[in-house]
Amino acid sequence: MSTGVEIIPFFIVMSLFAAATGKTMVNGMDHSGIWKWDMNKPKNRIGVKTEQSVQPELNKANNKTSIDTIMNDEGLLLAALADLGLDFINDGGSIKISINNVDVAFAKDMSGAYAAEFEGGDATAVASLVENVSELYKQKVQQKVYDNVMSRASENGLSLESERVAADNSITLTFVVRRD
Amino acid sequence: MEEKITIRIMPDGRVLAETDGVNGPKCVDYMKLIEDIVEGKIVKEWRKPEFDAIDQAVLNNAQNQRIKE
Repeated sequence: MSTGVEIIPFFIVMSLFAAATGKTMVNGMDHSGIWKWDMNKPKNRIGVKTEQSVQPELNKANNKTSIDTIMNDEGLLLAALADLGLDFINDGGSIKISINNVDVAFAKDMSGAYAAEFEGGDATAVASLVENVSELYKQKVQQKVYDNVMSRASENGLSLESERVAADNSITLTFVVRRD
Repeated sequence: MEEKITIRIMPDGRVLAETDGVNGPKCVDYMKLIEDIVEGKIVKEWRKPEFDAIDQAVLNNAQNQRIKE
């Protein structure tokens, strides 16, 4: 091997990716693990490691709770919602769903990433839903990247030599560079 | 030696790519190609010893040539 790289696809918001995967660096220290939101103490986060990789935050100005996500592609988000069997309304500005009588709106923030915003209700249930949507979204990103690579490799002088799926569901593609 | 590119697409969407049998700065061209094919941005890069070894060999040859001249 001569060199290697890590690439983040454009369908994932890079600035939020590390935080969403539970790896954050603050003052040089690895604060792995996720903050758990305490409904009884709005605006306060408690430093307890949980399985959740989404972080609800209460905005006191409008009394709405929002959850940042790594998602930025409307098509992939809609596909993930559809896979979960969720009915949604896409009004062009936001994508609205309803869970346990709580209206949740996915709208893009300044970074271009979708944030899920809702008012009242069971924040844990909504956070769990957003977590599931995000996980499905990542699978769709993997599929989209796979499709991109497979459809464009040949025209760029690459011939597929082997393909395998590992136990962690990563897909490894080995290409031989054609000399034509 | 055959030039190969291995692309590993992680379940969380990240992509790891490595070249094999590719000499020197040509690796960078291939990585740019992979970046385009994947539709993403390189956020981390590492070089295997061969990369600099090849570069050093080219440099040494060029220096030797100049000395002879």
